[in-house]
Amino acid sequence: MKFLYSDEPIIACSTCNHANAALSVLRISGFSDLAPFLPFFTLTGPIEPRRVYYTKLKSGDEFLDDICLTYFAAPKSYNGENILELSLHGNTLNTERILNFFIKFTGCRLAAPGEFTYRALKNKKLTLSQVEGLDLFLNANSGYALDQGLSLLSGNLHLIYVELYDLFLKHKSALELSIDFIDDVGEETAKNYFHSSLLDFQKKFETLHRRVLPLSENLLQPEIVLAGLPNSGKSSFFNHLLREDRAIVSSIAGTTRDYLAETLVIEGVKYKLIDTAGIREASDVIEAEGIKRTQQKMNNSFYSILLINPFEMRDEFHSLAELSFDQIYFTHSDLPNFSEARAEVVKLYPQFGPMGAINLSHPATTIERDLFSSINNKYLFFTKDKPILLERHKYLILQVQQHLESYVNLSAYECDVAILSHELNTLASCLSELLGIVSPDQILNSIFSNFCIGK
Amino acid sequence: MKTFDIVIVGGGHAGVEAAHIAAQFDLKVAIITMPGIGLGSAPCNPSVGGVGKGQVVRELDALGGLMGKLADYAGIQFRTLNDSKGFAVQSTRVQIDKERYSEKAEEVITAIPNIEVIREKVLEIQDSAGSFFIQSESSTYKAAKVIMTVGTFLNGKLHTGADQSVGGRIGCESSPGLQNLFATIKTRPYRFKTGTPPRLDKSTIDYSKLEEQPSDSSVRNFHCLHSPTDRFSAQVSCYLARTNASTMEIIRSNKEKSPMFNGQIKGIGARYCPSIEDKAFRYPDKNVHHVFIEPEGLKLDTVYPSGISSSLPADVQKHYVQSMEGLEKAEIKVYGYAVEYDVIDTTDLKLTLEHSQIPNLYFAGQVNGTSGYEEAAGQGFIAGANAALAFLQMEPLILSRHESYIGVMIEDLTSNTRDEPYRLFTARSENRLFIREDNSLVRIYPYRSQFLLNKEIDQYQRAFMSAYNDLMEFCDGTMISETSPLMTEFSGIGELQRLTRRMSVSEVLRQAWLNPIDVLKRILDFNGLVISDDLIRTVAISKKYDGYIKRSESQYEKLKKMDGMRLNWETLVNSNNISFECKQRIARIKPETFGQLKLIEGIRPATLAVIAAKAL
Repeated sequence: MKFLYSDEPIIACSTCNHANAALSVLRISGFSDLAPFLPFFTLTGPIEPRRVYYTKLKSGDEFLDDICLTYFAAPKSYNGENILELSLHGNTLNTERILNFFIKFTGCRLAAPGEFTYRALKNKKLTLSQVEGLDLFLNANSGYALDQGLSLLSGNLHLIYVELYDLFLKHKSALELSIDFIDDVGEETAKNYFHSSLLDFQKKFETLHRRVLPLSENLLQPEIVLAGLPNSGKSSFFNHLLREDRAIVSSIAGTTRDYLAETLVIEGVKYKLIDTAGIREASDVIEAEGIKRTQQKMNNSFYSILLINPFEMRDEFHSLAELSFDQIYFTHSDLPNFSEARAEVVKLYPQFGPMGAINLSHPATTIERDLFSSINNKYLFFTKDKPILLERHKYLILQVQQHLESYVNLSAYECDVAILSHELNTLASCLSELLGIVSPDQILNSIFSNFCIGK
Repeated sequence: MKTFDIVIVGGGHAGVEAAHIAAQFDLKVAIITMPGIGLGSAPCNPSVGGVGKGQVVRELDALGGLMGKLADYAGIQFRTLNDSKGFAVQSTRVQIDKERYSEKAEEVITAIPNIEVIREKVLEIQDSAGSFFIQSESSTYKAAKVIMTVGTFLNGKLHTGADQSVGGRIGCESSPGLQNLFATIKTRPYRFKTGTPPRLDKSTIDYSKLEEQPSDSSVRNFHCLHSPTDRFSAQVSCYLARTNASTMEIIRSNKEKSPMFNGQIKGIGARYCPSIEDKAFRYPDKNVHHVFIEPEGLKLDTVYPSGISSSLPADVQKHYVQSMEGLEKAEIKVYGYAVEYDVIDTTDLKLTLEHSQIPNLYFAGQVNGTSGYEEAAGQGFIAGANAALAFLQMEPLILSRHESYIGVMIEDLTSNTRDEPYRLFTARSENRLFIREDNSLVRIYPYRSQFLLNKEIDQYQRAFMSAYNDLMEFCDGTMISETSPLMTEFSGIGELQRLTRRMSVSEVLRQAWLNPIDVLKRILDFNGLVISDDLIRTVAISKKYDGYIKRSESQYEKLKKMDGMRLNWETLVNSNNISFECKQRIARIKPETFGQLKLIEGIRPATLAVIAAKAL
């Protein structure tokens, strides 16, 4: 509760170094007056906004640090409040000490995570979309997510929503025009405007709708899933892909113990590599259940790889054969009679072959090179149309699509404009969520800026 | 000193309604109005009703108001607007004989024994010891409650070209500014402006070149106690003329002579009521505009050309009027002009239209920054009824915006500062499918009955409501078998429009291809039942929209039920489907129910929808 409504001054370390570094930046926001801070600096003149000052930071006679200071006066600051930005030496102990110093002597409190930005939203410095963009930007797992975060932040995507919304308002006003102002405008003009404005909206919306892919949620944290029956070589292959000399990152915290997951970086994109081996081993369930779980994991995956040991023909192949994979490898290619065994499997399950072969003891580097480029190509393919990553936006766009479709169908035969308008309102409420709320005043405004109404 | 319970300053559409309803409570009422102006006069367009406004007139009529009755008596052309666009947006508009309208208003009001009409100019109003002292040019009156319905007269100033004069309208004085009347009331720092077109000599128009719009004899008149298609005056036609390129060129070439465009007028006009100058300069590509030639009265020799209001100099007005086809020889009887006037800040008013800082003082009509006779009358009624109810210490009358256009208007006015004159549109309502003309009585009955009056209209309404409930029940309870000949009759063209199963009358009425009024009439006829057209219409249309109205109600109900639903805020905070900011707020407040979640400031409906969708 305190968080939402408080406007007391807050302080936080914006660089959040958990290790020693050359610099760390503290931000203090929401104070009404600079004066209480001045005794801590050795500056002589007044502090002007948006200028960098080099000064000493002291507590009484005690010297604390050499710092650079910038003052951003409200409302011309990141969040619309007075902000003081201090660059300190970035030793973690130093940062901690100075942070506590300000909390003790100036009545600031430690900011909650996101509180600076929350105030920016509250003061209308950022829109909700921009805040979401900032979140995406700061936590991006790939260059693409970084770009989309930036696009939301700089308002590009927001501008597309605004354009779409304007077209919607035009159509809505065309409908209202035909009710409230038909004497001024005339039936034919109203009808033409109704149809042309609907078409314009549909066209614009279609380009946005195309950016909502069923897969795009996995693009935020794309997963590569290794599937296969026990003894097919999943774990060896998993370890091979994560060889020390390639970007191994620490184990992902918080994943359940049902499967093993590690981070794998390919062409600047962070993937989660998942070995479904764990599924069966960790939980003592029957094989069918294991396969079901594999299937679930695969449904959410960005890229799936099936490993087959051709020497262990088993009934479960049958259920695996129903799934589709991005890549299939036959393992144990170093064993004698490998080709015959593989041919045997492919004869029974033509959908599995002919596929690459892997010698698990000495996997060839070409395999991973090809695999990585296949993964990267898929990633590039799916990001080509700039899919929307944010779940809230995707959800809303799909809702709009649904309502638009039924509205267009209805408008083909329904002559009761009040019913049409009623249907349009349900569409409006989703659409306006991408932006803000549609009020009757906005619709009337749109009418008046385009039409000539009067006595 | 004469003493009244309620004094109404102004005798226009707001003042007349206010006096008429207050008098129904047997209070002692006075209207003090400018000398030389008839009650309920129509200084601008000679019509009552229109889209959204027709609904207001019927709401007023159901409340026991006067406007519908007067419009019926003076009606010389009746039309249903939006006839082909569905019942919800159909509205009645009546061209009135403005002389007859005002005469009838005078006749009705002066016949009411407890209303006194005083024709004097008010100079000052003092508030002292719980009473108001109203100082006119010749005497002082005392009142417990005062309703200000002063229209455009506060500091009124008229403009025709460079000619300026002081006045509330043509040929009339203006009243002092509000700050002179009441030292304590703030007027807005700005003024509103409205305009009126030149009036043409009706014998100088070539009607053969214009499109005729005759009166529709089937339109239901306004007053519920009048026989539906009764006409009390002779019926005449309106005509449609059009501007053309040379009309607009004349106006464009005289820009510097227009008070609105050369800086002489500073008041703000309504965008929906633009002068012909506005049209010329704001829409430079458009030259053809509709001009409706409306009769002003059976005995009057003038017509009102709707669509060309102007404050240009007289010679320019004549020039552009005569550039139109059919108006080549038209003579102007009265030149168009613009009027500027003070308005009050309606956010200082309560929903009863009582001033929030000065108890017992009410404001209604154009002084509140609205335009239109119907809007004025609606407010006049609300102010008059509430002044009377407060005087009698009864519950106030507050109409919900979900049940009436009057409610929409009052809430819009009192909740927002307007930057242009306010007019009602159906688009202002969120509940247009429900607030229709046909069901005005059903919507308004609960409010009228709270007055505890027993007039003729109250008896009519009680009988109507009881018959309405019976007929609604009949529709729900009566089943029609698939083998009934009626079902064959009602089946439309094609497979989808075939009625092949047993269904209730209500269900039949909802079928998209059927006209519910004709169908219900036929069913009642088939069953040998005789029921009034008014009732059939109300029930048939209500049933037609039932599904839509119920759906929005059920969405609302569903949400209400969901409020009690328990939720785990920790899972919400970990969800991928909720925005970063919402998660933060949820984490802070730790809501335990959906209702609590909803109350968190800044939780977006989208987030609620995601959570709600999962819960269901």
